[in-house]
Amino acid sequence: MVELLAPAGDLEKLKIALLYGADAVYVGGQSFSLRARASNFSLDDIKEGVRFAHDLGKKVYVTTNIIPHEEDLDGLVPYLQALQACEVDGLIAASPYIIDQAMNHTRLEIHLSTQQSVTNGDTVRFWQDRGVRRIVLARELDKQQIHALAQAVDADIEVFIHGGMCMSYSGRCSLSDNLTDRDANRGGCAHSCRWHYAFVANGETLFDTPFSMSAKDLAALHQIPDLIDAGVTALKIEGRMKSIHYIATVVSTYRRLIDQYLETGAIDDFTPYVTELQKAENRLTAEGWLEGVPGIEGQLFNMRSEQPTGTFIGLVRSFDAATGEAIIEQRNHFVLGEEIEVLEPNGAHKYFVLDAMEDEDGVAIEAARHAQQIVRMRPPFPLSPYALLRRRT
Amino acid sequence: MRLLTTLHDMTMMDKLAPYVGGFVVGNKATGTRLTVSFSLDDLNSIIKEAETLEKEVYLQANQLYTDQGLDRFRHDMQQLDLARVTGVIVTDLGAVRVLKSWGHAGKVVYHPDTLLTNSHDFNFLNREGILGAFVAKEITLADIKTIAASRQYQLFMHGHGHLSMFYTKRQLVETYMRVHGEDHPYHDARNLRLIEETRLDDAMPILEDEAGTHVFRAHVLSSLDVLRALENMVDYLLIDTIFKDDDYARAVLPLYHEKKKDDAIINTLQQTYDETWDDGFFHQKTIYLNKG
Repeated sequence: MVELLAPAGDLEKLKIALLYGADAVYVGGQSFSLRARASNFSLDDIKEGVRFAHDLGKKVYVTTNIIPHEEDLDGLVPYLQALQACEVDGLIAASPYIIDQAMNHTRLEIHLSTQQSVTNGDTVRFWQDRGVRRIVLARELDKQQIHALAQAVDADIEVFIHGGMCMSYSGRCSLSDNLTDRDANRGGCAHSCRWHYAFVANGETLFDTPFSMSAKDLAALHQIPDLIDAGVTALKIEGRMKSIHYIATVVSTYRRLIDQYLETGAIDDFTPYVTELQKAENRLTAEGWLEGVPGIEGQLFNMRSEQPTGTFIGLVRSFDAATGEAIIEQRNHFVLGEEIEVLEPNGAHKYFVLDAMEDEDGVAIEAARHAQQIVRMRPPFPLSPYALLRRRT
Repeated sequence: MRLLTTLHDMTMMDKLAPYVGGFVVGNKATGTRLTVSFSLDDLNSIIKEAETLEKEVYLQANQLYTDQGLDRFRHDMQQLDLARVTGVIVTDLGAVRVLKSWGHAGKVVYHPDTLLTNSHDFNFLNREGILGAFVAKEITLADIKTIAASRQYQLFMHGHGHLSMFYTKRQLVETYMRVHGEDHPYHDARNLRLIEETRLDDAMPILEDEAGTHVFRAHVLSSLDVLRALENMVDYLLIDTIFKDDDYARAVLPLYHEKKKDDAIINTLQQTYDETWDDGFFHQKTIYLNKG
């Protein structure tokens, strides 16, 4: 069974990702992890997250994927042993030293980070010979190459299916280091590739449109059947810094698509899945390398952003079946009379018109104006904890 | 410490030979960011000439390979007189595996661009019996010293030249021309620059070759200021003349060979080639965000 692997930037996102259909999540701890600003899992958080995941029969992997300098290595072994004590299901690492230390001092399963840019079977075998269980492939392979590679090796193969794309080979870029002194391989990427540059030939700027090295985000909905058929072990969503709305929407969409394909052997119409993703996607997307070398369609030249078609307005905190009352945490302004779409963790959609609501003290209100305001309402059907409310457009 | 240099014209080897211990050359099918792509026949001639000159020769086969690319690597390496080659500079660990399977592990010079930033990772191929490895360009002199102190094979590093800081497999210049509906005469052109909108004085070379697209530092790295310190740490110092020519090498190499920081020559070179030299990250530690 292929694993759907989702990012989790904090405990709430971890729970959302798992409840909405991820088989496993990956998180960053407070040491040795890229995405420094997203890595706010203390060891206690990790322990709680692992307990939550294991209760659902799911997994948690921890990223220890920096490329460390000498002084960054203090405390590595105790940290790895503490992760093992938290009963995490595996480590995602790029540094050979971190990998070796994990193997020497723990029984943790090791996944090789995409930072090592693995693009061929011999490199997979190299790492497998060193004891690595799973290889996260570089994004620079098309689906035929992935198929051939996955069939030819014994190691578990993981591929990215959704989210941000480094334009460069991951881990081989020092634009940020050189232009901002921030070390991209130690969590500090300044996304200098997405800045604007004049393109100069023979001393003359060629065009007014700035040159950029910004790739469109990856969205591999249409390739999921082929990737499952290729025999990959895990399908990975990128984005530890994304919102819970994004995580819930993207995970739920891929979950339903994967399940439909596994159950029926075919996806006749991708439209509902595409439409659903657009409700949370705020960047233009393309198919990355999966259909071959990306051209114009895979690149951004003017830093365009897209507005998601759905606005996340509230998160269901609880529902009282006896009274029919739902407790909602506001996430964006909403008012009486609006048509609301509910996304349930099981992927179901429900709709209702909001005709009454109260504040936390039971006082009738016409608008939920304040961030994270607690609102009471009585929808015409039960709601699950962690269901999302969207403004229907 | 031995000096190595890249090469533009094989007829210049004897002119450069007095200053260097060896040459770094390659072919575009397996190498990238080359000064020039030599044919396989030319590479064999260079290997022979290097032997005549009693110089070492290194093949720059530093692409990341797909399975098909690795087949090409196997094919091309088998056309070359590998027995007489001193080393093969590779970025892909699959290529390391191939060379080892041929009994040539002792010729491997591992160069993963940014990844070797501490002594443990630098030495991680020790079990493979390789010749050496390139330290990352983005670490300080103190970091290099620490790595050098515990090195278990030869330490290579970039000592001079435009250093690459971005490597994508995409053909970005072609895409940019196509988006404007223009022809694309710039593949493998050496006259292209990127200028960031807030850094108008820094023109960064950009190169699109068979392996992808590369962006280089605007300033030229010079290690002349720290040469004496490097002598005790570094086994091989590479003078890379990409975007220049062999005349540039003939002017720069004596400075390193004689360990002479001649400001008059340096100023003339910078004016002639319209370039600015700096000392890269030797004294500038990059920021680790987790530590604020």
